[in-house]
Amino acid sequence: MVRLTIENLPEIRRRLMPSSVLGEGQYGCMVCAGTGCVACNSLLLRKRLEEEIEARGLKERVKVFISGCNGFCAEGPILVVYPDGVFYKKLTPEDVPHLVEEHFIKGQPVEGFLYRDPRSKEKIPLMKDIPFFRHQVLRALRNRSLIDPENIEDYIAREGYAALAKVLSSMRPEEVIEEVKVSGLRGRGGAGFPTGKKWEEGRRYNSFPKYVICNGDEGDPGAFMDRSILEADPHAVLEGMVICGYAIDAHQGYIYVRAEYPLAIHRLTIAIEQARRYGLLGKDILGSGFDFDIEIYPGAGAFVCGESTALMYSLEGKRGMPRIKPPRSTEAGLWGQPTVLNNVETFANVPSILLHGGRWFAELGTEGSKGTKVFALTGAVHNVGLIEVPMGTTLRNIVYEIGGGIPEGRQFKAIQIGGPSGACLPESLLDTEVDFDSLDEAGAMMGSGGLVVMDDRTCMVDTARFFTEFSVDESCGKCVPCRVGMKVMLNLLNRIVQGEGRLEDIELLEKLGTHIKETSHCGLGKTAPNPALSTIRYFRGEYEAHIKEKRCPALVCVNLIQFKVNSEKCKRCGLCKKACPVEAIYWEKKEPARIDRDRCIRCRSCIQACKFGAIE
Amino acid sequence: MGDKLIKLSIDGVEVEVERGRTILEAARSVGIKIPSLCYDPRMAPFGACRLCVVEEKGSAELIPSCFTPVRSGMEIFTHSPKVMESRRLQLQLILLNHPMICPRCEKEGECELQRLVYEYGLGETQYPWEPMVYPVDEASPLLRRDGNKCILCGRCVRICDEVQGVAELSFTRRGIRCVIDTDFHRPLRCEFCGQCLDTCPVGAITSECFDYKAKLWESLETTTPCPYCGCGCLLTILSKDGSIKRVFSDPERGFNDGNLCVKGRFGWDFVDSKERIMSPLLRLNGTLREVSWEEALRAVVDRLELIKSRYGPESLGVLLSARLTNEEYFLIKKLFVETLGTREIVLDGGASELGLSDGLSEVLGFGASTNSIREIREADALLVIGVDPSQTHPIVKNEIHLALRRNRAHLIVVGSYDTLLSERTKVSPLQSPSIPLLCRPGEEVFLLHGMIGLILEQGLQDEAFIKAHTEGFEGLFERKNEYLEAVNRLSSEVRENIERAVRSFSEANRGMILIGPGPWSYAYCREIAISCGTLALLTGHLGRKASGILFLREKCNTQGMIDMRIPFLKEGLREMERKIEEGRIKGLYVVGGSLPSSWQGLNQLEFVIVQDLFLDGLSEKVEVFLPVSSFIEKEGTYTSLERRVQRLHPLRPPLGQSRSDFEIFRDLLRYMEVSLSEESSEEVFRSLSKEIPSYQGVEDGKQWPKGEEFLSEDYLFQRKVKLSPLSSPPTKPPPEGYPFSLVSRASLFQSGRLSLKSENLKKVMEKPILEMNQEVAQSLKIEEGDWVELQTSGGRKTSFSVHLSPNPARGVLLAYSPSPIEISNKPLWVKIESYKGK
Repeated sequence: MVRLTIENLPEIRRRLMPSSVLGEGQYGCMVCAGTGCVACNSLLLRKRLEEEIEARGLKERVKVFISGCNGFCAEGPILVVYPDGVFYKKLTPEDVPHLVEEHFIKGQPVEGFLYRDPRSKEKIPLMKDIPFFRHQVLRALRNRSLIDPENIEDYIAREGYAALAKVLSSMRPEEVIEEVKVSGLRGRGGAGFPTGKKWEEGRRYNSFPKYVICNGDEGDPGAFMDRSILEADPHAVLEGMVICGYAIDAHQGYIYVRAEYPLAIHRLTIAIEQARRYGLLGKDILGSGFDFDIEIYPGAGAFVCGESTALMYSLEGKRGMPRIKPPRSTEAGLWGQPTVLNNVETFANVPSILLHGGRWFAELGTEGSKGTKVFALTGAVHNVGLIEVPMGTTLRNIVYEIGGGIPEGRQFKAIQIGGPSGACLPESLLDTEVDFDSLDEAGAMMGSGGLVVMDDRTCMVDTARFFTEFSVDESCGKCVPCRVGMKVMLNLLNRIVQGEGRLEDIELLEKLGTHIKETSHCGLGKTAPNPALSTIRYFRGEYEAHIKEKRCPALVCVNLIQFKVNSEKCKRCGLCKKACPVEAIYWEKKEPARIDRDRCIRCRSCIQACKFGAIE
Repeated sequence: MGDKLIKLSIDGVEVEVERGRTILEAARSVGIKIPSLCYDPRMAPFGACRLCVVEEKGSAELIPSCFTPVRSGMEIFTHSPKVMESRRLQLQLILLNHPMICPRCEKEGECELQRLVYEYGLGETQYPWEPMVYPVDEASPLLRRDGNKCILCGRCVRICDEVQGVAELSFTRRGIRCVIDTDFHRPLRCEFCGQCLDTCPVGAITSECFDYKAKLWESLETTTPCPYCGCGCLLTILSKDGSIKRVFSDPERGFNDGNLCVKGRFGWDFVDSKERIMSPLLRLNGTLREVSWEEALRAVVDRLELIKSRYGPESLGVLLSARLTNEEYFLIKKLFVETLGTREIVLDGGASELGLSDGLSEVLGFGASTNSIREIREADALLVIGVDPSQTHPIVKNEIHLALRRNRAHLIVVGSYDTLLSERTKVSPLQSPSIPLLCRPGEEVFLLHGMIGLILEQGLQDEAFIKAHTEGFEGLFERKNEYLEAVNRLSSEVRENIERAVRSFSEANRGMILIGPGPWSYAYCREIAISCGTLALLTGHLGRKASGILFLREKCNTQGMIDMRIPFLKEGLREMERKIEEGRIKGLYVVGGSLPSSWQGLNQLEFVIVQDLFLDGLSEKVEVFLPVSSFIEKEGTYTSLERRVQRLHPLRPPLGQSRSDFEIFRDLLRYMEVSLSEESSEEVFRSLSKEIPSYQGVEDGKQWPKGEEFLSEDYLFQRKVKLSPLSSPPTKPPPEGYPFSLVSRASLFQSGRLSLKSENLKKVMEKPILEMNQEVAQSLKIEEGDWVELQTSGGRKTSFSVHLSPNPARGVLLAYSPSPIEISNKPLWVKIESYKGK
């Protein structure tokens, strides 16, 4: 292994190019080794694949690799076969002999393992043709399913560290910052602070040492953008951080990752170690004389540590609690020194901005929000997974084109955007474009990129209660409005879902929610009332049904369900009787079912079992 | 200055404040009150209660004023309808989770929350709430904490961390379950300074010492200096019918910013100790009996005059405590020196302190602290020698802590043991770790000489300063190799540290040297002060703010005692012991001091007269006992270690028949028919300030000379000062077979006779332990908690339980005083006789 330098990097890259790795007539198998696929046994799949290929004597023709998260987690474990990019889904180790026989010996893609579009019912063999992928534009995830995250050479081969070499050899720090400013990149952690401006401030203060921190404390339930990037393309983040270090004159970086992301930590550890060996971290990076090193700091589990100042306290070994600003962290952050903290996705965007120019980056997106955004799309859609779309894409496009619409023929009800303190937007706002400003206008926020789609079986009051409870548990307890106020909101919501709501409760919630937003200290408190406020704004009728009619329209709040069979709707199928765990349902063939409410334990099994909505 | 001032308007009032000030500070500067529960000017703003929100014209958002800096042209409204509405709701939220038990809360009537609720007129709440239960700490001594009453303003957490540097308390748990507690809810193991109690805006932290005693408005408020260490903090004492109900410190008065240590806040109860003697005693037919003052004073005068006429004036020995007032020392000089003619006077603990003064005087022509305590926080290098401020001068410790925290100051510790402050230098990787230069007692001077030698060798001295203000540098420089030789005798580890120390100190912008009397003699202290003075001159750390020397005086009026220029025995107690044994001293007059009971010759004395609060130990030898009044029962002035002269304000008449030392000496002089023109202590002060030039024109609460907080270059260097070559004091090798030096140290909770009589302080007093260097212990296979028996070179034996720590120097054993083995403040040579496991 040679230490890379600015001079020898292009030559070494040429030797590592994919074209030179996969020769004529060769196949490359990329087994997805993101957390989702690993949980579905993809590592065993890889082992079986290697064994089978060995056994069949195909070792020279077929190479097996792992990749980071492919994104289409709903279909895992996933295998992509190059050079064509054939997409295989939900493979089991038992499928391997058949697959090897057909694809690698006979040269035929295996029909049975291909993806089938739920709407057109057609098989789609190539990954790039699948609607889930077709509508995406990859910037932060540019190496998705193309590189092995545990092998730095894969990254180098795909222009990795070229941006760093360019920066170190031909750009002054001020030029780097200018380029980032031109790109219009805004922080992907949620608040959308202009990255170039932040770096500029970090550079301005003449107090040393300075620090670069990567915030990988992704705490939103259901969000896994940062985790996937760290697992799939750790060097992109490292490269972004070194460039930032050069721009602000820092020599030490920290990556604060949730301890709950062991795979990300594992791959980062490998990546850092490899980068050091290749002379891409540590002293005299690429022979330029610039020093920068990075340490990983596993977080200790508090949601609030995703708040930048709390994160810095946590890094210092103190209790994670947001501190007052000013001073901003760029003036006095970690250990009181100038610190630039950016989110994982922000750093992952940096190398291509420096390589291709800020103007290139700004070509995509809207007026105020440039580039793309990665989202974790979950909930009631066909295609659950990790997606990257240009800023300005509509929510409708995401739900219906990429997400493939709502399964089981249910109705779309709401989309929750921005994590646990994001807003729930109704059908009427589905044409909202995802960019910082449009979402803000709609009373929602970009957040870090969680998207939860809800269908008509979701009770919006209960949803608000659920997210409020999360915020109550995760409030650090520092300031009064968030600590006490959120608990009061939860008490109010609890009393509504239990059927004890009073007419004035909606007004009390609104008043209190506004007060909490106005007077809370940090982003957590300032946004925590959003789920309740947005559901009141867009689904007020549901609140009123709970309070005035003592009825939960979505049949979720058990205290408000009568557990009575509507005999007109009942098709007399008996599924409810089968589902009931306490034999509280009486049913004879051709008779409508009847529920003994003394026996009923209100578990909602019958409601879930009934396909006709006959239980009220 | 002009461009640093910011103009804004608050409630229509034009305000001009420095850039960087907060809106809240600006408002307070013009008397506009903004409510806040989490704000305490001693700490950095925190922003937890959100009551201080204000409205800015043109902005939709409410602004927390406690941490938002002023901007030019702001138009702020502190009580707009929107603001009032927000505050009312905020208070409602705080109140929801606060128990409504005000009538039985100690804080009732003074509670900041209660006052705001009243002011903002809160009504019933519509919000649903179920009471929650939080942990209570009733197991800790002196302080009681109730999580239920706590409003989580974090003031206790922050004062403990930011001001005290202790960080005993922390926020624990999250959200609505959040509570302030120790780790794992164990009882407090801290300094028990009660600063948390002091800052708590509600009744969540209370003390049994103050509980249910008296309401503020029923009490008499008296402010008077603290009788313990030499810092000179002002105590504000609430009393009712002459008994102390509560002690705190008014932040508006005194240099100490409202801060107090455990002794100041809780240690005052010795004044009401049952052991106090309330009437004069005279030995009649072999037993001490209560007599009238007339009889007692006559008896004293008879005895004094008798031995003077029989054996000459030098046959009278006098032992003086350092807790008397300046006026009393003035009368003492009149009585014992001028009238009776003795010079056989021992100042309790004062000889060493005098040595420091004399030594510095020799270098600078000025023999007291050159700077003030409050300047320590602005220094960026601190050399601490012969004292552990964290034990003996807690308020100075706070200042050092601030310097470490705010300036990342370098800390150099010279002495037999490291200070606890060194721990605080490890909390941040950017803080340079403290530099301990540990040695046996008696080697400190070599360390200082070594530092000076290295400075000269490496050319680190401040040439311009030396040239401008000193002469004789060449003489000092010529002998640098001699000083360096001293370094070569030390271990390589210490040598390395000296290099670092020298760099830190000479490169600092503002360096201060804090000197305590150590376990040293007069002569040794003199050498220490000469070396320190020379070091300060060479590095240019004199004559400016936060650059200079502070003497950390042990007792409340050690400085005053020295200032009053009473002649004294330089070798102190040892010299007096010898003279008694030799029969040269025939009678002994003890004023507030303690006699070592181990003294052999006491039986040969013709009499012992004791004038004190208590009669301890020597009662069988005492002929006359004169009961004195305590510090809250008398007038006069104390002079603090920073030369601050402060008046005592009595809050009650002397207890029982006790009289102030002042009155006693005045009466004795009268009985001896000495004409005395001064009647009151004010009159005496006037006379003494005529006699002692530095006290001329000094007002109450100000520093001599002329109110100077620090002595400027102009003052100090009116003439060039002379740098002289340093001389090494002789060293004595340890006696054969006694490898350890046993050093006694005062602790935070026990520092001598007053603290021993405080029931409050006894609650937190440590067990007698022996602190030992952990590496040495390991090599001797001694473990934590083992019992060891020590034998002194004089043959006395005693046992201790051992505590291992990295703090003591390798050849040093530390005993907390008062310890079972009676040690003066001079080190003893000991060996470890035997040891056994726990």
